[in-house]
Amino acid sequence: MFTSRLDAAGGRVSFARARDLAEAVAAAVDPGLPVVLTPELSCLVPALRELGITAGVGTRLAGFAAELPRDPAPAPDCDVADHPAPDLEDLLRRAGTGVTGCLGAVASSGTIVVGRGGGNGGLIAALPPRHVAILHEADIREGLAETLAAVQGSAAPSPGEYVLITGPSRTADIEMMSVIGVHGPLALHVCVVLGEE
Amino acid sequence: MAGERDVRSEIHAALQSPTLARALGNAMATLAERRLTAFDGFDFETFRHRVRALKEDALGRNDELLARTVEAVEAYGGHVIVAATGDEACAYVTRLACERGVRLAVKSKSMVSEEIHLNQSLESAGVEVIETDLGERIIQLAGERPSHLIVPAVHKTKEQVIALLAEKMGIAEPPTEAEELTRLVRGDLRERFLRADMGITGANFVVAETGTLVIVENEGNVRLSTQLPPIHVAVTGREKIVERMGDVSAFLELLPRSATGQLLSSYVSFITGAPSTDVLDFGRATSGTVNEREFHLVIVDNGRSAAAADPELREALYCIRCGACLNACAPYAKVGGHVYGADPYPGGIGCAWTYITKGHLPAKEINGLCTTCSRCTEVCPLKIDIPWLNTVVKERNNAEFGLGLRERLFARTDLLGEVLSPLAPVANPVMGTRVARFGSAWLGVDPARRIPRYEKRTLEAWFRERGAPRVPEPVRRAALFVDCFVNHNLPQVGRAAVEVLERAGVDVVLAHNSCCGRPAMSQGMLAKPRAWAAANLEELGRLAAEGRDIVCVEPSCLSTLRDDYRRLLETTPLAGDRRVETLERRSYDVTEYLVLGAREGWSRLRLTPLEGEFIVHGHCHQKSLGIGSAPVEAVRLVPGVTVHEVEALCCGMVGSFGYKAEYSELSVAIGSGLFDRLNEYEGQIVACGISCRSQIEMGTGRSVEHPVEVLARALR
Repeated sequence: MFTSRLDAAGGRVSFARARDLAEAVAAAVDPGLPVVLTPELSCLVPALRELGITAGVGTRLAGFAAELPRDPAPAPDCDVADHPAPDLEDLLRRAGTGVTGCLGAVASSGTIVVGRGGGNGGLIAALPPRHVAILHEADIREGLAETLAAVQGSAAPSPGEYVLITGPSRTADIEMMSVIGVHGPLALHVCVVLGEE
Repeated sequence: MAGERDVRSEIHAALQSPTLARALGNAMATLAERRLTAFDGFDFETFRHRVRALKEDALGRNDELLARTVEAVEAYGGHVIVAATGDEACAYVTRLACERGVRLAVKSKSMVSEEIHLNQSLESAGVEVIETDLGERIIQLAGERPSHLIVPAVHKTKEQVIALLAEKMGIAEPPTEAEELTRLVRGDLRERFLRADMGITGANFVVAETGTLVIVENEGNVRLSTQLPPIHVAVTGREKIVERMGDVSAFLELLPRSATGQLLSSYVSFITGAPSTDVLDFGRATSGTVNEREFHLVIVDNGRSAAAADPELREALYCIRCGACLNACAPYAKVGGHVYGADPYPGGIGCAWTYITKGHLPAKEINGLCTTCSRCTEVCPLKIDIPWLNTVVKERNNAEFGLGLRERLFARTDLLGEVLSPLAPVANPVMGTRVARFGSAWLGVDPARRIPRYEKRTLEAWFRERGAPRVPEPVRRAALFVDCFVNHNLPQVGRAAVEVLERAGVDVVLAHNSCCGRPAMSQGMLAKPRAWAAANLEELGRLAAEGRDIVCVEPSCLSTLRDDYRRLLETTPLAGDRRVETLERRSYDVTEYLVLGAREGWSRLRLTPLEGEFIVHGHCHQKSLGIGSAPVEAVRLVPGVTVHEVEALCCGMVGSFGYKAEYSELSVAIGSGLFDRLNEYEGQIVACGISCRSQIEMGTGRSVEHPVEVLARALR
């Protein structure tokens, strides 16, 4: 249901195992432009660079790495400090894709929940023309109420700071004609990480 | 205030505008259709019941929740002020901007900021404010006001947008497709987002327990306005406060479905203060002076707490600004938001909001644009009784603007009938004369409208003269509610009702009722209807206690008894009287009653087949009463008939509405779609409402029957 509802809202979905995540993300980004990732995904940076993609972490907040969960963790010994953004504004301005994690998802409406707080996740998901979100299959719930209840408070380190995203940005302000891509991303791709059997 | 605007000319201009008709016609139909699709298979009633209860509770404790909101916002380091007036709110934001050296503010759509004229305040202090919602940007460039709650530029065609963008952005060869135009604005505004010092938003909901704002949008401009500039200012009304985070999801299930027909809008931001993210600098004016993120919440009162304490107006505060009522409104779909003097709230709900926030309406005619069809209430996710709010505002406006002779006459359909019926042989011929037309024009009645004929032999006279009822061993006992028009102008409809009911085995008496009160309520008079409601409660309550059902021929009377008496009597000693509930339960539309009899098997009605086709126009108030299918089913009781049901909005007549000179043209415009649909078929047109009947007869040149007249023909 999540896939079909997100599809109806104009988003795309792909599936990956945790170990193939970098390849799946690489396939979803705009390869010709820099990719900016949230700090908890910094571990993906080396793999993306190996795949020929310019990638950087979109924060300069000190001490962020220490708080980060190691998940997903294909390369266990990485750190935000290893991949600093030399000029954050420049990276954000030029990035073709923002890559973030998800706090949860609602199957009935095809919605993902992305943290807005520390690490600039909210901006990384909003500013570049393309947003790739990594969603763990286990975090998909059926309804909105239960998802919000689960997400509430889990948005560490900034509780109460998140955005529900259902497809790319859109408008119908000119003669009710549906147009995809206004101020937010023109495209949304959700990469669902399947649970290990 | 009166007389400053010529609303009649404005309505005429709106109706004559080819672009407005096209833009609005398409948009309203599209939005209404998308809404229906979104609610397909969704338990609308359960959810609206839940959110209504949440709003009632939250507004009942608004002071307490406001205090908790302030506490929560301050606890996380945000700044919060409660502004008593719009000016106070503007002054706070403008002073803040000046103190921080703000030069450029990006703003996402906020009706409250339009209400308090925030942009003008900031601009007068030298701060550039850029609207970033595409529709708002279009009207900002055009120097206009929003004409719809969620689609502010709905009155503009694509060609108008192209010409506007070309002129304002200095483009010789502008793009022609909506997508390219949107990209053009995206590119233009992106740099402004990056350089802005301040982001200004509204809020759809404010959660008291956490101080969290919830903002719903589709374009992504809220996300950029709240995350790129270091200072975020949110301006919202105090009625937006709900208690708990858990309350929000039910509202979110209803708001996008009602507004745009989406299951969920593209983005719903939950914002709890300034995010602990990097302060960015793409070259803003406050570079170097503002190095921390700041969050300011401006909570506006501006008449809201007074409305919350006012039992007749409180319901308006439940509005979540989805705009579904506008998309269902027949007059709005013809004239658009600007005729309402939308500053910024258009439509029926807008009349209440303008009154609450400004203390009066910009012109008395605006309030009269409501036809009381109640389609708005049917689609409102909070089930706000917008026609009732309009009536209340109308009454209060009468105090300011005065009540004309015309309104006083229209309010007394009972007296007119009592005076004119006995004079019918003299009065009727006079009605059509030049003198009468001159008199009509002087009164403000469209001279082209035919004044109804009065009958010397009223329904009551006929019933009295024919002697005692004659139903042996009746299966049910009923009292027919005697409405003013049927009694004095169309007694044949009442006679048909009595005959058919009796043949169904119902013992019928005529109630000695007063006018239901609707004609006076339509003029914004509430004192008389309250007195009549009390008298009717006495009489109809007595009849019900004797075991009689109350049966109405005119759906508008029934709607008044069933839907309005509770409210009318709420502020009188009869509040909570059990007979109100009895009346709601025991009153029926005559077609509903006859169909019920057939379904439950007690009706003894035996009908002979009738030849021919019947085209049925449903009455707005039957639809609002949930008995929209009753007239069609009633006609289908006749064997052998072919029945076509014409699905249309209001006929446009609405009692006195179509008679009034300033609305007459609009009344015909609303009805024109219905006339076309009816004219697709040949056969007998059937309609229950007395005013629908006169409108359709005028618009189609064909005769109209009430369903009971059709059934009465099948008795023979």
